[in-house]
Parts: sequence; C-alpha cells; structure tokens
Amino acid sequence: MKSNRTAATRAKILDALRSNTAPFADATPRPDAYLPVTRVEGDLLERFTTELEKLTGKVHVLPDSESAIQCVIDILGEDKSALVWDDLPLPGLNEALIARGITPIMPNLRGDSRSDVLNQIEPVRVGITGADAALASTGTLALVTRTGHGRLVSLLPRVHVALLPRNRLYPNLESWLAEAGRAAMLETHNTVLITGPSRTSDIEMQTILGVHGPAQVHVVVF
Amino acid sequence: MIHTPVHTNTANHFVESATIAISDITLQTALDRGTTRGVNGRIAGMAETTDAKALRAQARAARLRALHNLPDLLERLETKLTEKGVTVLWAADAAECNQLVIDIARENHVRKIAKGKSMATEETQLNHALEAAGLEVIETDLGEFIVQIAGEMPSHIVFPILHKTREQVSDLFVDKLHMPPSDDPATLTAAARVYMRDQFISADMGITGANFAIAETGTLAVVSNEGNNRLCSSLPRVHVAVVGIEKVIETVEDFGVLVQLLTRSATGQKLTSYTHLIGGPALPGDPDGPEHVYVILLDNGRARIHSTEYAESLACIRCGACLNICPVYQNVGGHAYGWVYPGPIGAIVTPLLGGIHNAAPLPHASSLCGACKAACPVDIDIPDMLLKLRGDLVAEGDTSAQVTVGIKGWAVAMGSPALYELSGRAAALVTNAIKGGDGQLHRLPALLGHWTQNRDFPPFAPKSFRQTWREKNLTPQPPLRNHSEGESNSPAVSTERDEVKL
Amino acid sequence: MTIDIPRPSPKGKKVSLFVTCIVDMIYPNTGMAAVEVLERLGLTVDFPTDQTCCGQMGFNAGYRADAKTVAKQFMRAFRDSEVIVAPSGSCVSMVRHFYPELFADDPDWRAEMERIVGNTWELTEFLVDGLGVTDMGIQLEQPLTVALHDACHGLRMLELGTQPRALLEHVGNLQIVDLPGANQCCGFGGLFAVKMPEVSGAMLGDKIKNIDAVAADVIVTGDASCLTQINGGLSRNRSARRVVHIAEVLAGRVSHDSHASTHEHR
Repeated sequence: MKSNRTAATRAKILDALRSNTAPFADATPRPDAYLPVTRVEGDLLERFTTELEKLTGKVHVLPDSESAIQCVIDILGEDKSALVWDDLPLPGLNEALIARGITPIMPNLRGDSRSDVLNQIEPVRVGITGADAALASTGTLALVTRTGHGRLVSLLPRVHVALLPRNRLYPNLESWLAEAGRAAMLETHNTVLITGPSRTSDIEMQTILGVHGPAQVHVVVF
Repeated sequence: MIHTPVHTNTANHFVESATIAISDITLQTALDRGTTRGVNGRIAGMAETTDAKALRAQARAARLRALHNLPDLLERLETKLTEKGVTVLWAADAAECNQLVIDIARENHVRKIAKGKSMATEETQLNHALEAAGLEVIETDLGEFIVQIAGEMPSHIVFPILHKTREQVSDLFVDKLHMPPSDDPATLTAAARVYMRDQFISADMGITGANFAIAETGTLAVVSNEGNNRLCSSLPRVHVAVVGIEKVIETVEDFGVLVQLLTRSATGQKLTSYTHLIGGPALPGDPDGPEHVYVILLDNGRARIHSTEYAESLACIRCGACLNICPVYQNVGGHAYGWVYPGPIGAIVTPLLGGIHNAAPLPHASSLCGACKAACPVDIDIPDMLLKLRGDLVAEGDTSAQVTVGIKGWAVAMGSPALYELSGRAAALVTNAIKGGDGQLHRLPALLGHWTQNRDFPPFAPKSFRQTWREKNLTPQPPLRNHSEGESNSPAVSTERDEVKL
Repeated sequence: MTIDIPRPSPKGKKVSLFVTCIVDMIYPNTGMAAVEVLERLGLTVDFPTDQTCCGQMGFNAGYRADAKTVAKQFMRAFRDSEVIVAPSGSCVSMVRHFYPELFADDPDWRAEMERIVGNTWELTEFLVDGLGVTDMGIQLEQPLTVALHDACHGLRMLELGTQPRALLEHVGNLQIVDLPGANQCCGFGGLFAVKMPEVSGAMLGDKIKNIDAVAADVIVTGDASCLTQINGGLSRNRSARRVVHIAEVLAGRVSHDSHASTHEHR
C-alpha cells in the first residue's frame, strides 16, 4: 500500500489548517533552557533505588561481575530456562547459567508465523536484559531495541531482571533525552522506558501488579 | 467473538441520565472512590516537582506552539516517519479512518486484532466497523476489555471502568469468560491476563493510539501501566497507530515536560510503568517487532476546530484531571455526558466534534467553578469555552423560551436603575407575602420552582440596601428614572431619560 | 481572556461601593457591614445609586448582548468613581475577566472599560492587597469558631485564597477550623442551579455533608450567591447551621446564633 493513496485527504487537511490564521501566534517561544520536572541532589544510585523500590522494584547493588552473576542465579531459583538478550553487559552470565542447567533462550520473532515461537517462550518465568540507562528521579530503565536487544525479554515473562552497569545512571528524564534519548529516537525504531512493574488499577482502583507485563522488576547494579 | 454495538450520541439526554446517576448508590460509591484517588494522586504528583506553576506554563507553551505550527509539524512528522519505513496515511473522518484500518487488515491477511486503549478509535467506533468487516478485535487494556465485553462505552478517559464495582466485573467474567465468580480484583485480573495472552499470541495485527507524536524525531509516544500497548505494538506482524492530528508536538524537550505532566496529572505517577517510543517497523537487526507500521493521522473535525475560537481545546493531553476534580462529574459520572469524552473537557469537545445541537445541555452542565482549569496541566480555559458555547447556543436559538423571556426581562430591568428598583420592591412584596413560617420560601413558580425543588430561598428584604443607605445618609430620594438602552453610545455622556414615578 | 490592564494602587482614593444586586435586595445587612468595614478604616464610602447588576447572570447564560446592556449600566453608574469595591468575588470576576471580552471591539467603551476594570476590587482583596490591612481591630464579644467556604470565582479567578483567612486570623476571640472540601463548589452556578437542579442539588448535598462534619459555630464565605445556595439547603434540611458573609464577621456583627444574614433575623 502506498502513502499517496490518501494524498487527496492529506491535501484537504493541510489546506484547511493553512487556510486560516494560525492560532496562538502569541504563544511563549521555545525557551533556551527548559525547567526540568525534577532535580536530583545527592547520589544518583541512592535516588534511583528509592524511587524504584517505592514501586516494589528491587535494586541489588553488587561489587563485581561474579557477585552480579550469583545474584541473577539466585533470582532464577529452580527455573530451567530464561529469556535473555543476545548481548548482555555481563560477560560470563550465559556460561554460568548453562553450567547450572539453565537454558538461556534468545527469542527471535520476525517474519509472518509468530504464534509458534510465542507459545514456546510464553511459559518462561524470567527475562534478563541489560539497560541502556537508568533515570534516577523516576526510577526508570531505558531499553533501546536493536541488534541483540529485543523487546520480548522485558515484556513477556513474569519477572524482569535488568543488568545495569553503574556508569549508565542519569539524574532525570530530561538529561537522558538530551544526552542519549534523542539519538536513540533518531537512530533506532523502538525504545521503552520502564518504571516499575506492569500494573493496573482498573477494578475499584485497587493496584494489581503483572497484568500484562512483568509483575516483578529486579535491577542488578554492578 | 465479541459484537460491539453502535454507540449513539445521547448528550442531549444529559439531565435525565445525570438524575438517574445521582440516585445510583453503587455508582456514587465508585465515583467517590475513583475521583478522590485521582485528585489526591495529582495533587501529590504535582507537588513533588521543581515548580508546578512554571512547569504548567512551559507545558502549555509547548502545546500552543505546536498548534500554531500544526500543518508544518505534521509534514515534518510524516517525513521523519516515512524515512523510517512507516506508512503514513491521512483520514478526514471516522468512516475514512475505519476503512483504512480494514484495508490494511485485508492487505496483510489479518484475521485477529489486539487493540490498545485509544480515545480516537472510540470516536470513530472502530471496533464496530472492524467486526462488521468480519475481523475479530479484542481490547487489551483491562478496563477497555471489560467495557467491550459489557457492550458499554468507557466512563472516564483514564479509568474506563471507574463506574463499575468488582461484583459487576465478576458477573461479567462469569458470563463471558466462563470463570468461577470472584470478588478479588487480583483473581479477576489474573484471569484476564491468561485470556488475553492467548489473544495476543494469535493476533496478526495490533492497534494503538498515541499520546504524543514528536515531529523532530518522528516518534510516537504511548504511555501505559499494563504493558498491553507494548504487546500490541511488538508481537503482531502489523502495527497500526491511530493518531489525532492535534497530538503532534515539536521537540524531544517538549515531550520531556508534557509526558511527565500527563502522568502526574492523570494518576500522580512520575512516569507510567511503560513509556513506549515507537519510530517504525523492526530494523533488519532487531530480534523482534512488527514488519509493518502504519500511522493514520485522523482529522475528524480537528482542523475545523483549529480555525475557531475553540482551538485551545486541541491542547488537551487527555489526562482526565478535569474529570476527577469536577463536582459535576463527581456526581454524575462519565456516561451521562452521552459520548466518548466526558467531564468538563467532554462538555466542550462533544459539542465541537458532534455538533452543538446534539449536545446542547453539555455547555450548561457546569457551575463554572473553574476547578477544571486550575487542575489542567496545560491550563486550558475550560470555563471560558463553556461560556462561549453557551453564547453560540443563544446565537443559534437553541435555548428554552422560558429562559430567553426571563433573561430579556432581566436585562431590561437591570439596564435601568428605576426598573431595577421597582422590580426589587415588587419581589420584596411578593416574597414576603408567600414566605413560610420559618421565613423561607419553599415553593417558587415557573423555572424558579426548580430551585425550591431541593432548596429554600430567602425572601427579598422589605427594605433594600439602597433604601437604607438613602435614609442613613439623608440623601433625598431621587426621582426614579427609566433609561432606555441604546441611546447612549458613550459612558461619559449622560442622555435624556424618561422619568417614572413609583 | 486575559489582557494586561494596569491596576493602580487604591490608596488614598475615593471608594465607591458596588453592593451587588443580591446583597442590595436580599442581604442589605451584608452591604451595611461592608460599609462599616470600610468606614472603620477612615475611608469615605460613596454609593452611586444608579448601580444595578454586573450582568453576570445573562453572560453566564450565553446572552452576551443582554449582558452587555447591563454592563454598560454598571459603567455609567460608576463613571465618576475612582475605586469600586464589592463584597463579591463573583461579580468582581465578571467585571475584571469578562468586561474585557465584552468590550474588546467596542472603541466607544474600551477606554472606560479598562479604567473600571483596573480599579474594581473585591472587599477582602481591597483590604489586604490594596491597602495592606489584615487587622481590622475587631474583637468578638464571645468566642466563636468559624470555617471558611472558598467561593469559586474569588478563589480561582481573583486568587483570593489567603486574603480572607488573613483577615479572619486577626479577629479577636475567633478561631478558624478547616472545612473539608472548602474549595469545592456549592453547586450554585447562577442559572445552572435552576437549569439542572438535580446536579446542583447533589453538589449542595456534598457541601452540606462537609459542613455537618466540621465543628464550627458558623460557616463564613465571601459571596452572597453561595450563601443563598448553602443556606437554602441547610434550611431545607432543618439544620441549625448557617453561612454568613465575611463582611459581617469583619464588622464584628457575628455571633453564635448568627443565622442566615437575612433581614428578618435582625
């Protein structure tokens, strides 16, 4: 289907919008610097932890890669498989999982027949991803979809484990947008900002976690 | 398979629907709980910011600039999205929009569609159109799913089933999903998750709306707490986003402030669980994602509104804060407003999109208390637009004869000090003659009888302030004059006046 | 609509009272109390007797031409006034916010409209912001507990949140308690109250529930229209509570048995 099939409607809408004096000519011009919604004073990791834990997320701060790997293994418990990104920021994790009889599954969902893949991976309880950034003032993880960094791993399982190298903390959404977010939006086709577990308050305003996405979010910082 | 009924606009029955809602005790409990939580969430969420007032001004300016540059920004957005491989389509109205979605479905051999929450598609009644074309569509936001299987319309922009109790949801799930009864929201939600997972896995196409469309980068931003929008736009091979043309904003910085004010105003959250930034179909190296992404830019009356004095209504970011704070909404709920958009913003948008004569009571469904404007994250002057719409109704003769006669009489009396005083004295005589033993009026005639239906009214004072003033200040009683309106064109020039004796 | 109209200081100027039609005809004692408050500060108060109404009722009903007729009468009545003070946030909001809209394209009236708009004040705003007075030097004879209902237009269109509270705090022997939902509308809304009595009544019901929950001797408010609505509901419910106008409190005319400040109780 070609875009130009709606060319006539497009012209009609744009002409209508341009045929009158544009409203709000007196709107305040773009500021040189925007006031951020939040500011962070003090330690970024501390703030990130406070914010995410308010949302029931768990932040595990570990001194090195070995202890980080152990932490992930503890979260997996008796599980025999886990969804993982092909490209994780924690070298040696996949080998450690395999050594403990846990199969890392790197889902690939492209093309037309998708339900078989989905039916196969749907029961897997835990998904392990990296994180491109963490935003301290909101307790948010930024995950940019690209080669080796798929969407399903942080979306389908009940439990999401994100591996976060310490140097990826930003104070707030605004600083991430300026320093990395804009580039991610221009260069890739999908980014998700994750702020706590999946939740709903639709029935009588009672908060229930894990309605569609993960009910638990763990962030392993190393 | 679900069959979504056609929802007709019943806004002209506002008073009847509102009256029923007010006496519905179950609904009142649900409304009280929902709106209180919404209001408290917003107050707490906005309080924890650098400077709420300055941020609202910044957010408002971003929206107004975007509306000022709307056609240019739409073209920029289209160019950017097209560069990323998105098919951008334009729809003038609901029928065109729905037909485009049906065509896309057919061309991609789609049978089942998973749909995320979108007010624009409520407007176009997309579900009904898709079902009529033989397609299966399932709402995946929990609240919207419940609304869909109940055959209803959402009663709130953000909390679609604010009007429902857990018992009502349980009955519905027993009936439609054949699950055992339960009044536990966690059990009900878990059942919905299981049911909808199967739907997601077998869906060929996902439909979502968008909260913002960022022109600078060619990005659709979709916020949600459940994650269903992510599933809709990630699992199926085809993703269609239906986006009102007013959703476009200019820059990433504008997005930064607007998205945070949206969530803080809607639920008090700093950000929702998921803020999904969609640029296009899966890139060659991406492990997953849709093969085709279509963006339908929907006009459906917006371009017309853009050229009127109601353009400010297009700045709305659909947070629902004006619904929660509105004492009318708190008492009557969303369905009384009769169409897709309830509450104060609905009282403006419904007449504008659906025709003012199809929603004549809505501009009057407000005490003009201004709480909506004060709560709005982009400071939309809702009371002012309600007043303008009332002016339009009068100008177009859509008003009751009784009120018109009353107001005309009022204007004549108030335009002349003599007639004013005369009518005041007459009212004092009459009201004091008919007042009850407690000094109050219990039953007034004609339209005023609506007042005494549930309130008393005080009688007029036997001696008005001005009479007392004249006595106190020993100023001579001036001759009562009748000034005919229209003779004076200037405030500083007094003209000849007829004199009337009381 | 907001246009920037300068607001010169009212200090040292002649004060004209705009008593408002409701106060004039139904609550004259409130008008006398307002005069007392102003005179207590040594001001000379004048009452231009050609005044009638601000035009809000017609304007809010959508009858703009008729509202303009009435607004012209307002401007004629106060053509010689330097400063106009009214015991109503709602009527003052009509003048300050909507006269600019009504007369924006009317060259004959525009200059005078801007002069009037720039010099019109609500009573508590005039005292606190205009004159810098918060202590009226009033001492009540007996201790009294009051709760304040914020009238909507004063609160949101004139930003009168702190001014009435500051004035009440300085009244001797008076204690202020918080009214739950103090800033929530009582449901009056002019013609709304008769066009949609069920909805207006439900809003009034919420207000009365909050009044019932507060341990105050009287409820104080700044607008006679709210007073009419709320007292109408309290009276119909056979409640002993009443709402009084803040002018009466500031004139020291309020006591435990203050009922609706209508004439027959005086």
